[in-house]
Amino acid sequence: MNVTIERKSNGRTEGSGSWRPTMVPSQGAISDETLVRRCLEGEKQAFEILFERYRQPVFALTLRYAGDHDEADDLLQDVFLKVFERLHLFRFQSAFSTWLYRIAVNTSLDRRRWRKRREDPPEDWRDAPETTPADERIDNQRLRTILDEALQELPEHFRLVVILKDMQDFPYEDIASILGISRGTVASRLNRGRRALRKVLERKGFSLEGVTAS
Amino acid sequence: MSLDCPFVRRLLSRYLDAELSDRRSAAVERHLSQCRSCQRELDAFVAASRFVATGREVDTPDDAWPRLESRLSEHGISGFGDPSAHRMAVGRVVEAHLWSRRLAVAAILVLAVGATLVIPRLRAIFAPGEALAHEISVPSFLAGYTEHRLDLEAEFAHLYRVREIDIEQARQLCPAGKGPAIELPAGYRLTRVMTLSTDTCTGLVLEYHRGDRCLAVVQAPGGHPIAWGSIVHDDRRIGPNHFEVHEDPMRGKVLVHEGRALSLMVVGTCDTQVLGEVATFLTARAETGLAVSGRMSLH
Repeated sequence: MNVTIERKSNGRTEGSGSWRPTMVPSQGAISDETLVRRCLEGEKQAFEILFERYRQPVFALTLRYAGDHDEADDLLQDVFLKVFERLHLFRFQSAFSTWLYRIAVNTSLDRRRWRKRREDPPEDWRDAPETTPADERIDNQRLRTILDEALQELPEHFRLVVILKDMQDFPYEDIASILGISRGTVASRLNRGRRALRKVLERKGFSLEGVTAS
Repeated sequence: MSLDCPFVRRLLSRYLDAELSDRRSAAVERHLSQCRSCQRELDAFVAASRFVATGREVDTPDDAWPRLESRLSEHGISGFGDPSAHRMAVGRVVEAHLWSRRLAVAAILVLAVGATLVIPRLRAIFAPGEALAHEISVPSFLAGYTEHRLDLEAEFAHLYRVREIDIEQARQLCPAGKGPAIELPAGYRLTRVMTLSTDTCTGLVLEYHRGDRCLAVVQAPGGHPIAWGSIVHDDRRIGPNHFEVHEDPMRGKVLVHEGRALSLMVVGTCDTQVLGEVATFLTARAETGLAVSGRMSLH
C-alpha cells in the first residue's frame, strides 16, 4: 500500500481543513465562554446553542467508544445533563471544549464500569454479519461497523486516545488534559493504539488500502 | 544524530501529528528516507488514522434536544430565564449528590485516621521533618549516561523534576515493614530511589544492584499504565514492553527487568496512598531494609 504522508501542524491536518465544524465557533459567533456565562445567568437558549454546537462531536465520541447507538444516545443525554449540573463549577481557566470532553470521557468510563458490574454489556458486535472481504466495495455504513468492531477490540485506554486524536483532532496537550495523563503517555498510547488497531483489522481480513477520511 | 528503528517507531505518532521538535522530526525523516520498514510502519499509521477519521460522521438523534430539555425538567431544572432560579435548580440537583459524597468523604477520613493510628510507621513517613530528598537537576542526573540519555534530557527536561532520595536517612526512618508479594533476587541492594515529577503526577524509580547487574523496579500505581519508560542496556534502547509485568491488586502494575549495566527511568502516576505502599514494599526487603520518605512526592 502506498500512502502519501500527510503530516499535521499544531494538531490539525494540513490542507484538509479542520473537522469539528460545530465545535469551533465561527468568526463572529458567540464564544463558548460567553454562552456559559449566559447559561449561568439563566438564558436557556445559550445552553441550547452549546448543545447544538457540541452534540455531534460528543455523540461521535460516545458512539465510537461504546460501539452501540442506543448506548451512545443515552451517554449524550447524560453528558449534557452533567454539563448543565456542573456549569457553575466551570472556572473559565481551560477551554470549555476540554472541560466538556473530560465530562464526556468520564461519563463513558463510568457507564462502562457500571455495566461491567451489572454484567450487562451492550449488544455483542460479534453477532453482526461477517466482515466484508477486502476486495469488495464497502459502503460507508459497513465501514462504520468495521471501525466500531475494531475499536471495541482495543484496550480502553488506547481506544480513547485514538478517538480523541484521529477522530476529534485534539492536540496532544488537550487530550492529556481531558484524560488526566501526560503528553508522553498520550504519545505512547497513540503509537500503541494505532499499531493495535492495524493488527486487529489485519486479523479481521480488512485492508486499509484506499481508505480516506471523508 | 542517527536513530535506530525501535526508537523511530516509538516516535512515529508524534512525527505524524507534528508533535516533535524540528530537530527530532528532521532526524526521523532522515531515518525514514533510508528505512523502508519504518516507512511502511508509518504508512500503516497514516492509514489507521484516516480510517478512524471516517468515524466522524454520525447522525445524531433528531429529538436529542427535546429529550434533554425534558430530562432537565424532570430534575427540577426549569429556571432558565431567572438567574437565581437556575442556580437554585442546579443546587437541588447537586445537593442530591452531596450527601452521598459527604458520607464517602467521612468514611475516607475515618479510614485515614485509623490507618495513621494503627500504623505509626506511616505517620513517621509522612510527618513533617527535615527534608530527606535533595533536588538534583536533570542535566546532572543524566550526566555520564549514553547519548540516548542526553536525548531524553532534551525531550523531557521541561516536563519533569527529578529528585533523588537519600537512602541512608530513609533507612533510619523506617527500618522494617511488611510488603506485597513481589520477590526480588537475593543479594541485590537498593542503590537509588528517585522520583520524577510533573505538576500532576509523580513516578518512582527504584534501582537495585548486585555487582555489575542492576534490577530496576518501576512503580506505576493505581492501575495506571506506565507513562513513559526507557532503558539503556549495552547502549541499546529497550522499551517498556520488554518488561515482565507483575499484576498486584494493591499497587497496580509493577514492572521488573533484569539486565547487565541497566538503568531505567519511568514515569507513572503516584499518590500518597501508593507512597505508603511503596514504603512498605521497600521496608519488606530484608536485603535493603529501607524505606522512602513521604516528602519525596509531596511536592
